Amino acid sequence: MNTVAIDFDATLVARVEQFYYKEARLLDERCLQQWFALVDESFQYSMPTRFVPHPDPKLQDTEAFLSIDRELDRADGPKGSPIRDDNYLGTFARTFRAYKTNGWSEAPAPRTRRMISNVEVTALEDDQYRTYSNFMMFYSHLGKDNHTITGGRRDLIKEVDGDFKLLKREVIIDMDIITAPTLALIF
Amino acid sequence: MNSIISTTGREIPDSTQFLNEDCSEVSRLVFSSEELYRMEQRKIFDKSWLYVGHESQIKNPGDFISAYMGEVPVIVARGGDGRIAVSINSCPHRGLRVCRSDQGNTGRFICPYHTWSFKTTGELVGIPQARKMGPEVDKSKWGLKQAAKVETIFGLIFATLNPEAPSLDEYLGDHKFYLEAYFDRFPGGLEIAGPPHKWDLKCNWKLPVENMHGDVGHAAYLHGALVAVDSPQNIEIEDYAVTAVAKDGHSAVFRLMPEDSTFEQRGVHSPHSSPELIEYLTEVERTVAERLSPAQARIKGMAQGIYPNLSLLWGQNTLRVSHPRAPGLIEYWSWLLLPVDAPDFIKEEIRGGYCMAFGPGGIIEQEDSYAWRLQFEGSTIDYLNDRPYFYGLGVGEEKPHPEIPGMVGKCYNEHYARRLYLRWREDMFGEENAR
Repeated sequence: MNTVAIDFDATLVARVEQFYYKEARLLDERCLQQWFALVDESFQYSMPTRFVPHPDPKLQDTEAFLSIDRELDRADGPKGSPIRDDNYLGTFARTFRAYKTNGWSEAPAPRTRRMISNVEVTALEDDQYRTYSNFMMFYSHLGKDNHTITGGRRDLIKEVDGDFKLLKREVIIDMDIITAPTLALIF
Repeated sequence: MNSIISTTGREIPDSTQFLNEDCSEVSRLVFSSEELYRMEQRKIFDKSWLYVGHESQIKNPGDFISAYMGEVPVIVARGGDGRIAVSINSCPHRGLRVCRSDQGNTGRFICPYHTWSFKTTGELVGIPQARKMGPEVDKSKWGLKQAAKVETIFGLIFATLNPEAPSLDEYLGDHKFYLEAYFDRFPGGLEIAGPPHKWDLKCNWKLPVENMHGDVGHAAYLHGALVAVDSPQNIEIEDYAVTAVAKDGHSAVFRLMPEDSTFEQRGVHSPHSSPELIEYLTEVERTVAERLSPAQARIKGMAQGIYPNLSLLWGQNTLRVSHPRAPGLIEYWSWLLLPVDAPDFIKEEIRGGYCMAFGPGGIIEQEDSYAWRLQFEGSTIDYLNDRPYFYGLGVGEEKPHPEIPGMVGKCYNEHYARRLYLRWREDMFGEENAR
């Protein structure tokens, strides 16, 4: 069997995956406040708006022609209108509003199941890591209002006391026109 | 009641089964009937002025955006001469959408099927096969069909498919006063930021419209987890909020602030605003007298709507259109509006407030869309067709106001919705059938 030498720290990747599985389980079990404890105070959670740009003939025959980034509208200084652009305080508000009898759209609560996969980890300085991962969320509400939401995540995480904290998460959603009832969810 | 409705697509003869005389009772079928939905496409969406975009989205020649007029896909483009063209996005040869992107700048749209090519303003430029095959094709006859009329007001681009439509000015009537109170408020005007947020909602297209026409009654209740009934914001609303209908179908809801209110009280909408945003909004109010009348200056807007399907949320800086797709399905489009001359960090704060609360990721909007969806489910129960919905709050309380146009009702008066369905009835069934 051929072996390929790659720079791969299996323990590190396994630890990051375990962190993501725990995170997904806390969210699916509606322990949003326990999940919030995994978030750093500098947290930024963003979701660019996805749109269909006009093909640029100048970029033909290069990968830039089909670049995903051309389809993403991010907060860019005063420009742009992303779907989500939350800081720590906004994230706090989202994790607490559901626990109220009059948080109507969550009472009764939707059922969710998050599958996390395709985890890639790159070590940066200061115990920080850049990660890529994919998610698939099954969202079920009001009996049989069922939806599957998929996307990619680009995170910045930091190792603190043997565990990880989320510093940044960018969610790249795969839908153009959103067919799920809401994206006011944590992916 | 159900048996009266045709299943053959013929027109439904009269309106009495759907609305009582003053529209304080509205049948569930108004929201759920397939026949009424098809009729709405012909009698409302093919006849009315419809919002298709904002001038700030197509500043330069060749700029374009894709839009819809009801179910009809259109391209809104700035021509070489600066003129705005609204073309139906369907190839005259085999019907494909010639433009399949949301926005951009281009010299040509090309239909993928046989590569007929068109200018951004719709004129047919080339048929590759025609060069090799006679007889010659008269290209002037085979361009993209244009909307019947296009007009703009305060940067808002409207179009209509109806050649007989009145001018936009006449269509808006005295409601212009309320449009102006928002769109002329900021010294540098307003512009759209980014592409729209788009999402499908399983509700009837009229319900989001009705909501933003003046449904103060849901605000502190449906959104009670976020805005408490006894919060200072809601007390201010209950003290000063009115709905004004200056022309049937359109409506505005706002607080008419007292004459001795401060500029800060008039300008600042969110209690979470930063000191810098408070200062910016207060400064806007300080200079408002240069652009608006004293009564307009005292308007602290909440929402308004232009018939049939454009809505504005004032304090949240968002424009939205409810595109009909089926009796129980809309494609909802929502845009962020920013004051052109605001400093960058102010724009960023306004944007953060919008997408936290509204759009597909918004914590307030998720509650609205939840309610709209459940309303549609309730509207499909045939057994309840003899139990119309109650729209009777405040009947007769609304009256003319000495300072502002239209009939004005207090806070929870539902006349804004009664007048919307009155207009709907006139368009659907005609004047003679309006009673």
